[in-house]
Amino acid sequence: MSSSQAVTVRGALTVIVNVMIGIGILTLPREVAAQSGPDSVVATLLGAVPVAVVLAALSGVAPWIHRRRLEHGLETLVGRWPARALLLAYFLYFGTLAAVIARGFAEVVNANVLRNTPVEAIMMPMLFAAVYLVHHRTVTMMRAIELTFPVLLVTLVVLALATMGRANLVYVRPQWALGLEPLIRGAAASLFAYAGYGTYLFLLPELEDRPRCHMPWLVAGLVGLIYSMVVFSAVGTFGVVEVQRITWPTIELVKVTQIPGRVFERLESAFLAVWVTAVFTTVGPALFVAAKALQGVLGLQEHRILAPMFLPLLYVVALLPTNFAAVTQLLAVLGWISLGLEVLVPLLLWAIAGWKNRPSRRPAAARPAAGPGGTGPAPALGGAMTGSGRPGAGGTGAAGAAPIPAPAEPGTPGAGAGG
Amino acid sequence: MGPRCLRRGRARLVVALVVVLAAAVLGGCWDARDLEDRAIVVGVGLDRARGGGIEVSLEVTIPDGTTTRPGISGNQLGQRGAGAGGTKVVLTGTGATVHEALAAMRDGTRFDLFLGHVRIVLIGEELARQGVLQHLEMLVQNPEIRRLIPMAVVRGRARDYLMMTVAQDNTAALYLSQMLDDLIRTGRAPNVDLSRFLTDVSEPGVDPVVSILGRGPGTEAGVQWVGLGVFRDDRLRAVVRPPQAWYLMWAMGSPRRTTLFVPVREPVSGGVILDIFHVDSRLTVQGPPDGRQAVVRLLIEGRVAEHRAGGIDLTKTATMRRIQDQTQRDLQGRVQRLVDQVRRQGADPFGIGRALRTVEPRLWREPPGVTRAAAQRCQARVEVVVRLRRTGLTIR
Repeated sequence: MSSSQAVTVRGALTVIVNVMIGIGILTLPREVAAQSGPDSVVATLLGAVPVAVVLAALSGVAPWIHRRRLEHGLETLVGRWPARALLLAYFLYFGTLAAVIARGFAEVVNANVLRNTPVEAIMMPMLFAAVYLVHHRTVTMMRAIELTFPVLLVTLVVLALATMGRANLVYVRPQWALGLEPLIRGAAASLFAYAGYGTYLFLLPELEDRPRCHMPWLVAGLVGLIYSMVVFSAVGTFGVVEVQRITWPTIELVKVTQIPGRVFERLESAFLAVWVTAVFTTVGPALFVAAKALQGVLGLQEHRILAPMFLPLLYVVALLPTNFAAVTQLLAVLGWISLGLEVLVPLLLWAIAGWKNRPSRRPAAARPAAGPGGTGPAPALGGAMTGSGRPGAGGTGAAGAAPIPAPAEPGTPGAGAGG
Repeated sequence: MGPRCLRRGRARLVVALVVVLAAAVLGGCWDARDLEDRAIVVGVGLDRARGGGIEVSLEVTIPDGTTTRPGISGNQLGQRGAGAGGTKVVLTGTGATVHEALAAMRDGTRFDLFLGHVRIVLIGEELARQGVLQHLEMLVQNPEIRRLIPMAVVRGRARDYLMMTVAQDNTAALYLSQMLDDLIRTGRAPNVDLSRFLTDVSEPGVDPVVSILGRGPGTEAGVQWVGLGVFRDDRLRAVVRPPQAWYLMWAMGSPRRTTLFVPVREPVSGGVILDIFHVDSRLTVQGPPDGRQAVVRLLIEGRVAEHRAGGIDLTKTATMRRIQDQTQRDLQGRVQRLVDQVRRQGADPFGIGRALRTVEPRLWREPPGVTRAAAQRCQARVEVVVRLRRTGLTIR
């Protein structure tokens, strides 16, 4: 694999940022304010902490997965059938997430802009575009998302800055007024809005290099900052009570924003155009993860063929909720599931990797130094070996079948840098 | 012709078909509506309907509508604006809610009513005294309506103001919105739009204040800003006229710049008129929990705008200080009286309850009524500091 074909660390992290910024940003101020009141901004920032921890944990798992088929890497950690079950769960979760986000997107567009257009007609182009994106290689998806990233970032930052002028500090000044429990509930609500960061696990096998220690914190910090700026502006502008009445406070926030000099009187058109891209870069990667997970479950060579096959299924799942309230309810359920699949599972994998890597389990001679991820040594990999202690377990002996070449010793300094 | 050529030909055919199909399908909407068929609403008036309910009036411009397609006013609820060249019409509908009234109007027009260009929302005084929250909430639930639209309460009925003709512009709504915009820009009126009003109504600890427009003989359009309407929750409780309205704005912390003239009679020399060009307002809550006191501090900066020739000598700092001290005492008394008067109405446009919650965070957990009661128990004190910065072009 040449370096131009590899998924760069920066590209992967860009994908993670884009995945997290989706439809959650529209309802986030309402949901956090309902839980945490004037402490909403702090709660939003707190919600980013678990994301950073999870991303760091996944970076710690990277040596076990890097440059290998994901299912093989997981098998070395948890065994064959638990790995398959996990991948199946990821497939179901991310497939449903992609469908529901596409439906949520259609509901928002229908309610705000295209009022007479059927939801199906709005949703289908998004699903088609996402399927088309996933029908390509991982690196192509990454580059497409990298292209849209600056537009999204600049728009959101400009929007947040432009709307801050209307904000009244009294509504957003942290006062610890409601106590610790509402603060944590608000952080949990914001954590739901960050959902999608589990995508990182599925990018790890194809990463060009191992991520540095600060990268997860940078990603979580960036999204946390953008989200907290939006929450600050929305709660500060509408107040703690009124913001809870508005279905999509962020859209209303854009509607009451004017760029000084009256350059843009109606900023919402520009925002919605950019937001369509944001949703696309959420639905696409979510679908990609679903395809990758199913690929692992079925032991296929390629994930690309699976994407078009998802389309009818996605369509049906997306149309299952009868209205926007049902969509919201389903998103909340997915939020709770994300706590399991996107928070607990990575932490569990990290713990298992650490346990398997403990000094008593490895001969001193085979003990490699910690890699750039700084998360500890990596298992000895190569050929038909697995780290599960069961030689040949999980069919990892079929190294020739894996599209990703066997890595150099992960965890050693400079390991995997050139593949 | 080889198989490769055949394949290429087929591919071109497919591309051509796709392009033609896309052009046919995506070229336009089956339910497209021309601009000429749209009735663009520029002003919304809300009045209390006779016999209950709400009367909604819409000032509508119809591009090329009434000239090329006559008859719009023949079967409409509204009336054609006199002298408006036939392109303006005011539609009126009544119903139990805003949406019902709008639906009634839609039934009576053959144009699509488009609310995306509304420039102002006017509320009749009678309805404002009855309560407007429900109606405004319904209005902003329409996705075409923006929360940024300025609003004002009018003396009399809102419909009459939308019906008026303006010499330079044939839409009353545009004229009134420009008038309000100018008042806001020059610091003579608070910037109150639907968003600000709804936020102030919904938040415990602060009440909204809205500009009041009334008939003004001798003015450009026969309309003038007559003061500020003080609300308690969503009901109009009192109308404060200038100059008290300006003091109210100072105490609320609304304006940063204003062109207010304050006459001050200097006992020795007759009189001066001060031009207040900057007001800084701060509200703090002081004292122990059982004896809270809200302190409104005003820093007022001004310049001498006018004085009688040969009357006073502004080269003397003692004279300047005397004017300053006298103005300070005078204004402090006036603003204090205004604050007390407004608070007697049970209204809190100053946000004393809101400030109280910053020092007593437990109030966030209490029902809204507790914050209001706590704010009303607070004593309000006004402290004014006047600084004369400039003396003008003549000094003696």
